[in-house]
Amino acid sequence: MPTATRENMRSRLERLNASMDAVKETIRQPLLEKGNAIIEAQRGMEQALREGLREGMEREALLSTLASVRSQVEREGELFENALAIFEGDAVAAPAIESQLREAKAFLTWVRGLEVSASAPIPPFDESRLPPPAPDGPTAEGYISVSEARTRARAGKTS
Amino acid sequence: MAYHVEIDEALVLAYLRHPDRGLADTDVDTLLGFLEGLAQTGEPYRNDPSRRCSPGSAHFEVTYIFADATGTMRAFRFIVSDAAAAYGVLRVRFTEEL
Repeated sequence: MPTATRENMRSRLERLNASMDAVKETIRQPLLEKGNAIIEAQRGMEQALREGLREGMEREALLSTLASVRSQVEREGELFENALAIFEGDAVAAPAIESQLREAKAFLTWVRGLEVSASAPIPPFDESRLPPPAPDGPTAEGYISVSEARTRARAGKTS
Repeated sequence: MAYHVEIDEALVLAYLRHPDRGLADTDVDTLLGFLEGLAQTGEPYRNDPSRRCSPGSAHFEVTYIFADATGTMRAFRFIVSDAAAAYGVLRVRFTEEL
């Protein structure tokens, strides 16, 4: 390769590196700030989910919610992994992004665990376990309204 | 349509409150709160054929999952009869922890 060409290539490469460094310099701080915002949003999601679990949910509704959350957090993890690839070796950005990625992965692991637990197959119910017949009148012996049951339970009464 | 929801006192309430369940009073209240909510939410469950215990059955099932007072995830299956739906009544006939 002629010297002039080699020099031209070296110069172009330096400019390319400088351009890429300039881009990284430009996006580093905003990316870290946006990453923190994502983690804050994730923490809010986790808190809402924990509150939702304390209140309880019907199984299908819970599974649907968990699937949506998992999908979103998987995308979040991919975003942090891509950011980490861009800033690999960066003394400032890499540790911060690694920390964000760790938190996203921990949340994802928890959500996946919940999903596995909630989606465990349920055997069909054998109706012969029920005392016959199903009461079909407006009133039925042995039944009380749920609100009455709640009142009794809150009062600590057995009947 | 809003239903009046009743539970079998001997089978359902007694089961939930039995010491073997290890449910705190607040947990029992949470579960009963869910059942009380069937007054408003019961209709879609009733209309979902996949929830019927068998085709044409008067019973459908709903499973409720929650974190109890200790933070442990618990799942309870409830078997509900809509045989008296014409009177606006749903009856919770059975429950078991899964």
